[in-house]
Amino acid sequence: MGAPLTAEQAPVNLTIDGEDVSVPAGTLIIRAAEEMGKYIPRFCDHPLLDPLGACRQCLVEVEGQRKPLTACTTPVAEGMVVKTEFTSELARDGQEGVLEFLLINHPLDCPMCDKGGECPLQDQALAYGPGSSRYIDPKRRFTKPVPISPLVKLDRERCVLCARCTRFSDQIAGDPFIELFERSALEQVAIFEDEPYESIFSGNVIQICPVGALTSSTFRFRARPFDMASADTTCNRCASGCRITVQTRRGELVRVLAKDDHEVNDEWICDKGRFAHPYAQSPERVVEPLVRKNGEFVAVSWAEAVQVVADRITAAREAGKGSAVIAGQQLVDEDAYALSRFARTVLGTNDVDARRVLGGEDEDAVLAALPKTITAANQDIDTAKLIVTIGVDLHEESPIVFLRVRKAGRKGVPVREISARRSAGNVQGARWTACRPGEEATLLAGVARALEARGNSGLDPSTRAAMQGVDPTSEMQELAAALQGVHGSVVILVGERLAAVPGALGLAWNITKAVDGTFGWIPRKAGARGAAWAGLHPALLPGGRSVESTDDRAAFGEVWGIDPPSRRGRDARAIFRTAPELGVLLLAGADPATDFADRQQAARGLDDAPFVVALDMFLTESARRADVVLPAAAAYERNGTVLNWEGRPRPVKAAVPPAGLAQADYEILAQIANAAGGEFPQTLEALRKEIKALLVQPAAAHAVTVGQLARPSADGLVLATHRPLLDDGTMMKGADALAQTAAPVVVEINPADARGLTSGEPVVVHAPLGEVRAPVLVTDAVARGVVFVPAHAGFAGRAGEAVTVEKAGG
Amino acid sequence: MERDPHQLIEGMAVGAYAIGSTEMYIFCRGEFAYAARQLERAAAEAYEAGILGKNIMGSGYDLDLIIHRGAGAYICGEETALLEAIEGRRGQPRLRPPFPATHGLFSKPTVVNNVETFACVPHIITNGADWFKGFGTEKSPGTKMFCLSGDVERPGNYEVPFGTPARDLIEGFAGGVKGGKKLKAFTPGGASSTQFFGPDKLDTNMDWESVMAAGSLLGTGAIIVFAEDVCMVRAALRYTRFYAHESCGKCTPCREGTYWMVNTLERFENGQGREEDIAIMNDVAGNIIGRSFCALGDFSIAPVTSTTKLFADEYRQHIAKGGCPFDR
Repeated sequence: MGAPLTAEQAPVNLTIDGEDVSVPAGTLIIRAAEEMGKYIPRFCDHPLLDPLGACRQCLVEVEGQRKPLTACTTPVAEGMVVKTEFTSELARDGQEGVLEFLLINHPLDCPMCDKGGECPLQDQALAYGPGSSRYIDPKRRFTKPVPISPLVKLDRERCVLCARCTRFSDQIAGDPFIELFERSALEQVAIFEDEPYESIFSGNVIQICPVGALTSSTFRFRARPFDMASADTTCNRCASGCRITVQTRRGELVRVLAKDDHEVNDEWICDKGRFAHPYAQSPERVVEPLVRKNGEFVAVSWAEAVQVVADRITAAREAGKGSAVIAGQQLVDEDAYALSRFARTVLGTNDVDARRVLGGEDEDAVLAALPKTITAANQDIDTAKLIVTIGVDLHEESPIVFLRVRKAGRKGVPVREISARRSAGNVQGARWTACRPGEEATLLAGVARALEARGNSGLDPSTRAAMQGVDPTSEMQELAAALQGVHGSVVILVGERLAAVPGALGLAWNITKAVDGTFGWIPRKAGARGAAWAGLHPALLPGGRSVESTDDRAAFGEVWGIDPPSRRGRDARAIFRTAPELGVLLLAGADPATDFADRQQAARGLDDAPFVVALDMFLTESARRADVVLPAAAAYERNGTVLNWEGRPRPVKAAVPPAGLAQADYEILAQIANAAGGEFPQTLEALRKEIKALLVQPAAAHAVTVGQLARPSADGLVLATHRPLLDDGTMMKGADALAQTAAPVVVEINPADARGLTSGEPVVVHAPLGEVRAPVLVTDAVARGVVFVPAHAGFAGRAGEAVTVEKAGG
Repeated sequence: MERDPHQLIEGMAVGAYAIGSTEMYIFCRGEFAYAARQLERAAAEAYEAGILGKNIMGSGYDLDLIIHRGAGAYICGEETALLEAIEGRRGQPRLRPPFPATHGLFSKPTVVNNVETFACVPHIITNGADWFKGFGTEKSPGTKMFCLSGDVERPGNYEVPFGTPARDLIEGFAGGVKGGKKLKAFTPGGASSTQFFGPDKLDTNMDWESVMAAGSLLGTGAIIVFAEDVCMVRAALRYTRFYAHESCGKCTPCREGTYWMVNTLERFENGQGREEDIAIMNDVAGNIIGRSFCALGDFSIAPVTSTTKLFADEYRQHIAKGGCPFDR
């Protein structure tokens, strides 16, 4: 435990239990003791929460002080002489007294309490408490347990009122929906009658509760802490890259906990990372290779399935037919690399795509630059003087990055959000600049122009060409002034979604460079940065190398023993358009018939393709249309690495064996490659060796070519859409309690555009590719001229498209 | 606050001017509705007369007064809990340092004083410090409001110079113990007196130093008088119940310790007291004092420690009789 001490403060010398220690000024006694490996017992203290001094368990004696002091609230002072329970009668007496008080009203139900076995109060009572109690009167009684959300149950009798949960909600998550109510011995944690505890971080309060007062509705009574096996791995639910501990009992996944990593996730994870694990052990998993025979899937051996696929690959190659790969964005890096290599060396194609959003020339340039450039890291957010987010709702799309930004906001760092819909995340001092989808490029061009007018000479020629003809509005002027004012200390975080607006991603990149800031690319999925590195892209090879560059391709002859194809491949849309001519279409963890904005086109393409192979965990809409389905291992079932949004490699470690006969994607690909008559790395080590040989040392950013800017969106209403954190995706399967906490689907519209619509009324939204019916919410959290529909509403639509909204008839 | 609110407002205004503040608050406990209404009326009169508000009496100095009514919590008499409550949060004491003088209301430097203190200011300004020091003792100059209550003939508030003997207040101003009964005990400084006084302390001079020398604290100057037929166990129970009820719940010793003492005292009254409970209660009290977050916990033990010390016999009578021996 213990947050890292900040080193810039002057050291202070003191003694604790007679031992000398030197710590930075401002350090609390309890932290100084931790530095020495000395544990002072505590319940309310938490290194990431503001000191409270409520439980009084950490009493220590400080020479010269009449009363014992709480180590969790008292900063060290030069020459201070501290005595803990190990050397001071006063401290020991104080701690024993407090422990006795905490136990008088605490139920003696350890044998049936979920916390039993990992409970600080139990440990403390066992170590220092008396065998029996002097307290003989009735204990305080409450109704229990009380569900404070579908995920969290509250037992007020066990609560020691340490206020960790309420402080977490207030200080860390910014969702103060639980509070302390009442006073005296009746003081209790509670929720407001008209405001349920709604937080995507709620599971953390269960983990930091020092007793069994807050328990998980999904884990209650399922396992004892000491009966579980644990594996430390990395969460793959978004690009934050949180460290987690996955716990299993007799091979069953029962619990996911946040693991401390102060450089990435502090001690927190979001509820999706914590509670959305049941999919991996769903009875719907594909657990055997399936081959379509006479129109029906038939379970076959791996040998047979691999041979069927290899034969089709060989036949396509001999017939001169092109093959193609559509990849998902949740692959681990080694799988992504193996897939990229497989496409180039076995299928002989650059028709590879892992993107959900297809962008312009500037997107290619930014994706190519990412592996070679020093980009933003969490620590840049910690030290930034200004944070700007563009086209990303961190709260929904990368919740732990959101917490870090929120932490900066709490210190007073200004946070600017440029988006079509204001994030629901509660960041102190955040300011929202509304921007209709499709107009981000124009806005950024205006900011660039205003920057130049303010004397910034760092803009490259392509940006200067792009910004001609844009007159900066006062809003753009003001943003430029803010950026220029913190030259060198700004972090600009950009959503993957921004790629859909040609020019915007490139402008954001170049503006960041011009103000000497750091650029962060926040994709939605855990494997997106790895996929970009691996070159799951029609124009890119591993390491951001270009398929069209002879020099870049030369790196591969040595490693792969074969040159990659030199012609730029086709993107996903073009692949589906020409599906009937394909030899083999390989899907790896991709479900385009569900996930693509134009899902009808994807489904048609899958139907029309002569031979489709799907590596997947489930019979998705897409896998259902395949000819061969090969069962892939879930993230909890295999080892590997993922690059998080920072590009930081995070280890993935198996907690359980693969379901049925499932295998990791790279293992499947290696077998197919061998059967098709090629050399292919067989192990993770062999893949890593190749990856290492292809690594590029990141350097300072170079400007990218912005290219043609998106035309401004049409007048009238345009669509804004993205997936909320808790959607209806495959990997939410079985997480029923979690799904209950998801916000209901509503169509959001600005009051200026409501034209007589009132919140709650059913409406229908017509978009070029379909329509959706849902209740409307009239809110100023969406920009004027914008209709927001969450992307899981069973509705195909692309951001920036013209839409109409009307009352739903009948 | 009820009878002469303007001297309070004037005193505060002088204080505000002295420190260059433009905002003043009076935090009035929620139950004191009449006092709050009087204060609001007085404030309106002061605004009307140009004594408060913008450009006071042409001086260019602006000063506003806000009467804040609490929601009924004793702990809001603790200065940092008071600040929390005005800021709209739960009335619970804050961590110190920082102290209100540097980080007070809304993180601004703040002077927090009692009504009685501010009410003295206009008189000192008018008559001078020497005049004020002419009252009372050297270490406790000035006058003090004593609130006489309990078993006395004439309960009420009496303003006398510091150093007036307790006997003068109880037997003189308040007319002695009600119904001619004998005095059993009195509190020199309200419920928060660290030690109750018996009749032997009647000649104590009521000033800070003399009361402290006699083993207690002058506190609020609330003298509560108990006649000979009062059950001191029940008195302790009532006091402790008050503290248990008013404990804000933030820290463990005060929250749980007062709860424990109340349960034990109730057992004595119900005839279930045990000899060892006297020692246990004192031990519990010892675990509260000096370990709680604020002074409320420290003061909450006085009724138990005082009565078990001075009136241990009464506790034993409760045990022997299997209930309360007093019929009053």
